[in-house]
Amino acid sequence: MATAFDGYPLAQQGEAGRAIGLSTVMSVIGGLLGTLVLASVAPYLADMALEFAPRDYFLIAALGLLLVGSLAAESLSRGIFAAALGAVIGLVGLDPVTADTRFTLGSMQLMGGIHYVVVMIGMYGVAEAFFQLHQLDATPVRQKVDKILPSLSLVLRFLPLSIRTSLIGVIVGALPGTGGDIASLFAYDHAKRTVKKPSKPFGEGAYEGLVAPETANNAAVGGAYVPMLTLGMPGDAVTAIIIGALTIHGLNPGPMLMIETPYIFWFTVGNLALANLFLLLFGLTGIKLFAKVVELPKAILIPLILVLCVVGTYSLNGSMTEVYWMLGFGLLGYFMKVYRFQMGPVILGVILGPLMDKSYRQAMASVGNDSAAFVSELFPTRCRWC
Amino acid sequence: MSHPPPLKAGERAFNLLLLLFSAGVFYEAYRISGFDLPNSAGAFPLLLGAIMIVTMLSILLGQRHHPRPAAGGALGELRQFLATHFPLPVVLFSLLAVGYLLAPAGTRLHRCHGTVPAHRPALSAARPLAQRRARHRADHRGDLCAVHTAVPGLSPLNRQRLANEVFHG
Repeated sequence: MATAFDGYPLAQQGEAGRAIGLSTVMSVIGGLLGTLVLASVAPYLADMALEFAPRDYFLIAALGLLLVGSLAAESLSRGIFAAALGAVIGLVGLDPVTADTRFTLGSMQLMGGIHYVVVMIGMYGVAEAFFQLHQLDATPVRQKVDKILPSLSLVLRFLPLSIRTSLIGVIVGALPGTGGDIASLFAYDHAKRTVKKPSKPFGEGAYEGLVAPETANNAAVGGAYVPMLTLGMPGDAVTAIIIGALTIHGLNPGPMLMIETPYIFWFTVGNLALANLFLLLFGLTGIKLFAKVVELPKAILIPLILVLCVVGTYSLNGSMTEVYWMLGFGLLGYFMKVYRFQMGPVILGVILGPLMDKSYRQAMASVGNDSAAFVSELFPTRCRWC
Repeated sequence: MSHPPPLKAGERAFNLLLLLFSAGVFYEAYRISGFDLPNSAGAFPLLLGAIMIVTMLSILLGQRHHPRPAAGGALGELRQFLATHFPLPVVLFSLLAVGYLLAPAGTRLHRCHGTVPAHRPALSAARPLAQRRARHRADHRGDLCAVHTAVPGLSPLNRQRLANEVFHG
């Protein structure tokens, strides 16, 4: 989003090609710096995370939900409501400790819970397809894309700014529940405050306004992997999906992942580095081809998205009930989107809800169900590691 | 003094439904284990239900001074809501898709002189819509050509904007 503040004016001024080329190179720099931080910080953080008590997990998850609720949504109330709704969806099914049924309404199908991928496909895929129905008749504008490769002097000119905003991206990305969008807004704000003489005024096609959010956005990817691999908490919606992928393969993201299967960690780091190199290769050579996808008529694109959503959901467990649930979440997501609720907090709520429930109850049990002791444990008067 | 922006059609009703849903969540959470031990299975869901009710009440209170989206009271708002979110082609095709989904494979609909396959109604309904869309596209291309003839040398983006402004207000 922040990239569009200056990217759109640049496209209007006929500099779309150079803007795309520069943002691709800067994205790769940000992505590689984020990966470097992940490789160097995560092992130490995982060691520290082994000493985390359930209350610490509860606090970090609560912080993540509050952050995403307050930063991603139009108002704090809407964000917190969406996060709580997601957490309720995540709690549907049998309680893992007492086997009490929760929010199942007596339905056998709901006892196994609602798979969060079903919620994700519905709220991101189907809701977006429904939303795009309003612009079915919109004719895509063809943009001339040429002179893509940026000069070395241009890249070197923005290198100091890109390193600074990469660090912002990594730090913001590492906060559970934030992610690239929020990191890029922080970075844009930083660039606006610190760059005294931009190439053009901010908002009118400044290259600095393009470089800052793009580097931060990609650096946040490496940052988002830090809590995911060390604590088992997703940094953003994408790492939430990767947690699902790891779980499907019998792996348990969290501090034990680094001890039991360290090769998975280094495999992920290698993959991220490789992905950034491929981004450079395909980003600079294939952009003209990718631009054609945007020109695809929506009357073809929307049915294709809907079919893929149905196939993807059915392939999870071979269940038509999950397909109906997915369509239901799509409808709910559509109206939530129309009435300015964000989907991000809902998705993170679905993932973090059960984790918060588990750690809250463990923490409460460890202090003998004493609420006052629980609160004083949450907010100790001195640092536990000092 | 600035006036608050009008609500979208159906926004207040949707928020009221969410408030009702939140109350349902709170009640269901209470049914799990009541106000039992603070680490019981229903404790955290109760907290979530309470949070949902409080936040939704704060959203609704914040909207109490926002004007209605359409003239004509609740009926006018309902009309605007239906026209925006449930246009006839979308409703028709959704019903046909649901019917096709629910019909067992190979179902044929009976009529006076024999039977028709279940997919035939969908295809029959699609034909006039496709024709209407083709006419719309032809009109749009005509608009762009007219703008290009009147003001040559415009970028595609500006040509489209001008065409939208001139022909569609």
